[in-house]
Amino acid sequence: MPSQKRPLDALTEVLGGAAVPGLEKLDDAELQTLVDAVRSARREQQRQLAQATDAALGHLPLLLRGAVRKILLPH
Amino acid sequence: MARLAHQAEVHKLALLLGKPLADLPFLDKLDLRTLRALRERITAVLFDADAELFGRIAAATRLMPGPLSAVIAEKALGPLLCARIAGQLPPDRAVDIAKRLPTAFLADVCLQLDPRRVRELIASMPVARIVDVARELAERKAYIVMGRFVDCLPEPAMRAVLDALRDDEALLRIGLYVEDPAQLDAVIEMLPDARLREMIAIAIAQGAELWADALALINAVGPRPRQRMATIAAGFDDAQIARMLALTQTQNLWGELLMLIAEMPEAECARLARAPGLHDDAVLAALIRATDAGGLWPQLLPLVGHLDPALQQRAAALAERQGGDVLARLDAARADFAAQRGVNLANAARAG
Repeated sequence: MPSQKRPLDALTEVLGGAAVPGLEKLDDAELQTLVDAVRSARREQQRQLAQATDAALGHLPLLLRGAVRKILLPH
Repeated sequence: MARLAHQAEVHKLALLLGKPLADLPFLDKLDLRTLRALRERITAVLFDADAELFGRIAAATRLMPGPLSAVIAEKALGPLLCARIAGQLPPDRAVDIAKRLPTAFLADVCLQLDPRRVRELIASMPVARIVDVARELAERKAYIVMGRFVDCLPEPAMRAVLDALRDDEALLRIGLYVEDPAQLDAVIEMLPDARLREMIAIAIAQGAELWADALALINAVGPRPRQRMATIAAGFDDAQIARMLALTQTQNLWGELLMLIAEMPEAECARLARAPGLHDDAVLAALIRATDAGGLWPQLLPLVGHLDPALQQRAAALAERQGGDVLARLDAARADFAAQRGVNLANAARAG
């Protein structure tokens, strides 16, 4: 069974790896709510970015779209 | 200051996460430093994660003429992406595009922006455009976002915005979210007495949370603006003073009000001491309790010094009921006050 990360570790990870001092005051459920909130904000941003990028490409002539998409989104 | 800054920080964090405050009640448990660090970190996660993509889009934008970039910005990229890209464009290029965008769209961009990341851009924006956007944001009651922009607006733009926004309640609410106390002092310096009076009057009239917020804001500013606001508050009519005292009693804000009273000129302090609202045992007891809890005897004494002797006796009796040590601290503070007053009078006589 894969080991589940402790919510404090999971939060540290989603925040980029360094611990934020003082968060130990929160219990596990509260920390998990924060982890979920950060992930959800990030997902929402990515959704909007993808939507915006597609819309921007839609303004280009059809033939150019593939090439420009490759430049903007190489991965 | 601490309560206000804490509350503002919780609001900003909830806004950044796109969550209602009710979903994050536990944030109240965190201290201000932790909340700020958390917000900084989440901002970095959201703004820096796709920095490479934003950079590429910004580079592509540079190749297009300004009018076309503006069309693409509005019709295709949308406010979120524009907000993320704005900091990656050279300021003159970003201003050239922004000037061509509708005010409502720019306001949408501001909602997604971290103003500290675009200080140069803000400084290069035409003042008239900033005023238009500020009006739009005020119309939408986007006070948190506006408070964050106050931290970054250069003085000419700040003056123009203050002049254009005639809603003094909105100004008060925006002030709650300003992070830099020096900038808050500067804004108050720019406002005429009449507008500050109106802001405090609105807080008194509305009561509830707005009076607590106004007091917290007054306590957050430096000594000079606080003294100015104290003098203005002391000049209210008897009915307003009565309401001010009643609200303070209901919400137990004596500690906060004392900081204001301590800055009042002597004549106004004497007038306040005669206010019937203070001549009530429950009020006096609450006042003494808050003074003792906050170690605010030096702030209370100018007021006590102006109470008539009978009321001073009642205050002493009420202090004694709260404990012999409370009475001892009241007596010690009264002695200090009398001694200091004696020194002041002697100095004044010598100077005269």
